[in-house]
Amino acid sequence: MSTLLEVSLESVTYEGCSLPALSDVEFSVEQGEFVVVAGPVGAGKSTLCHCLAGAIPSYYAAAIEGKIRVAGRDLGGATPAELAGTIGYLAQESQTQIVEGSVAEDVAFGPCNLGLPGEEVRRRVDSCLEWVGLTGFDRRDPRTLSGGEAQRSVLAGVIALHPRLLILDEPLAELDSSGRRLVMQGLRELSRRGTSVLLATTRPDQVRLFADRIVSLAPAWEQPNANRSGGGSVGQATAGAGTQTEFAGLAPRPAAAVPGESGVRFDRCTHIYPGGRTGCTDVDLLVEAGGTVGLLGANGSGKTTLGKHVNGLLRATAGKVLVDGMDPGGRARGLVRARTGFVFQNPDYQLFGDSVEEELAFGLRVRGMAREQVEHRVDEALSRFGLEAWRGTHPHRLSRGQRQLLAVAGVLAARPSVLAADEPTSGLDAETALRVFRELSRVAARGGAVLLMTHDAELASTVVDRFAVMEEGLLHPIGLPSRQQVAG
Amino acid sequence: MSAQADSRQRRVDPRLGATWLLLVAVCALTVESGFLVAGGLVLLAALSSVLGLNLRLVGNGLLATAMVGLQIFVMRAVFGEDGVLAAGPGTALEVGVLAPILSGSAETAGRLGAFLMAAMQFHQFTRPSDLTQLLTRFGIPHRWAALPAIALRFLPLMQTELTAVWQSQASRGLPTERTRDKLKALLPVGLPFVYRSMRRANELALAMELRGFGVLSRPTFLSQLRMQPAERAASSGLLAATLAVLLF
Repeated sequence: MSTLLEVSLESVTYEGCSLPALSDVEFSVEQGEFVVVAGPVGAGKSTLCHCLAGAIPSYYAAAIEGKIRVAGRDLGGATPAELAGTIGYLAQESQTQIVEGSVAEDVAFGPCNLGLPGEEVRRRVDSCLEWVGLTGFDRRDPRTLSGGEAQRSVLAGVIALHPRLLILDEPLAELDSSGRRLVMQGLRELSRRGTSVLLATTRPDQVRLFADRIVSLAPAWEQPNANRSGGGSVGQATAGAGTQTEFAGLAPRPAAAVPGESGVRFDRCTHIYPGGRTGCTDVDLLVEAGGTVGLLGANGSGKTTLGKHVNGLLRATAGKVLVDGMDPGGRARGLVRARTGFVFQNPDYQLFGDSVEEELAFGLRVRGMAREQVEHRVDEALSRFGLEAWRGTHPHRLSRGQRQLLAVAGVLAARPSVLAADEPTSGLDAETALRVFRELSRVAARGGAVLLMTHDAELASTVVDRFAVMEEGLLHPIGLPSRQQVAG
Repeated sequence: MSAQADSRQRRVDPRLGATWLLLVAVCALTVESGFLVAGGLVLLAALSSVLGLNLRLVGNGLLATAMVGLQIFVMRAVFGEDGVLAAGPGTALEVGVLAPILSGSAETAGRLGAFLMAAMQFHQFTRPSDLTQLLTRFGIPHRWAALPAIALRFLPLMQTELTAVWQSQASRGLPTERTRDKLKALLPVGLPFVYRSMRRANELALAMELRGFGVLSRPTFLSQLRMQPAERAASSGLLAATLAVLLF
């Protein structure tokens, strides 16, 4: 095997930042090798991917000290367009990478730009959509795709370029377990055929069976000399990090659920979107006060739709939803929202403060809390979520995972008595995800009701009372599955 | 929103849509009778409904047109036809003076509304990639020809993003019920929206470049534009009608 990628970076420092986002990173990737770059939230994985794809410095202003060579060519100054066909890059957020108006056209965008004839483009589109499990989605409007479907669609578009090196930043973050398995098996097959794969993730436990090697990336401010991987030994030494055995049973079990008017009750709840698409059908579900229900299900199964009924963001087309005995979409909406928290899948929809501290304080101030109480809660949230070091940082300077953490912290700081959380741990490493689940479980421990929409059944099983599964808008209660069932 | 981006209407050749848009534009500019303008507007609304255009979207378009008409009316009422201040504090305007201003403003708004509705039909029934291909056939460089299609795709996405930001802030307890609350919410809703828009624009540009956008001046397309005989006939008919309107 020949070396395809050589990375030797002394530091990468974003404009306006005094500390480097990356320092002392050295590793190489052989042709056809499958390398996982693992690291906790804020370790600089996305920064590394941006550097490799030419996005830094073309799109993100940062100073690079060091060298990157791809196929013997120095990347210094190369634009992303010059690398198209050699490097394929799937960035972290999929919906922002969709260019065209239908799934097939979007997958075809890259091959068409490279001037391939129509028949070859069609062949690649069909095979790539089959590869990601989206056969039959050709004519779908990308705006109607769920997060996981969009991620797979964009991945198909990247693979359709037939790149020599595939760089994937958290490609599994929004995928359900079957989607994860499908994508990982496909990537493994690609690497066997000679494509080098570099996959950045916070969850090496989900991918280690498929990878040749794991390179660990530690946050630059923690271990300035920890990122040198001599021939892969460092990565391999950490390949088992983050497995289930490390965190089983850490989270405290919530208090016993209390039946009654409190909590959330879905009574034959049906939601049909304008245009006729069904979100959920005849859902009966009770989340008692003091209880936590985990809502599982494949991408697009209706979990988010159901969750949005909790604070009146959606109203049931038929049936009803009651939160602490009140209709969240009715006249009591203000009252319901005052006691309800909703963690959105995308943290960027709520971050606007000038600093992390300001961001946390905003949600408390709008609820009319006194200044001293706000300060106390902010300090507490910063400490609980390990965000003290970023107190004065602008939220949009944080990594995606850190922004996710901040958004969760902002919602929980208000101490809601009812909480709906939509994929609150996507893109977080196992340790941080567990910390988030532990904090979520405090809501139930205080007597609140928690509805947790997640793909992370394994971690969630440490805090939920029972699971329910959404499938094509229908709900199937399954109780608390065994660890083997969760893993499956 | 329809899940299928490629419905039957969307497979209509964009040249047919363009000739239809041209005919409506010429009619809107040249028809002299206000009744004809009103009739055309009703016809276009009915056609939109028959073709399955989102009626809420049509309603919003008509509302925007009515707002423009109102502004024209106020400006004309205040400044008169010759731009000289005709009304103000203490000045009484008679009904006889206001009536022609009102009908004139409504007519102008109607013309604008007709064009807007035809533009909405064109947008709804034209695939972004077909529009790009059409523009490249007119000799516009691909790099520029792709921009209108991207912008057209971007606008509804922005609307979705704004709704999501609004929902997110409302769910954090930000009051949004009263008009006063909505005004106060401009900053906490506006700022994340602007951040998101900038981030989205940046990431989209990066994604496009990484997938080879701009590498070739003449890229290929997944499906080639081919006019069906019926579309060719319809298009010719529309062009003939446009010429007739212009000449007679």
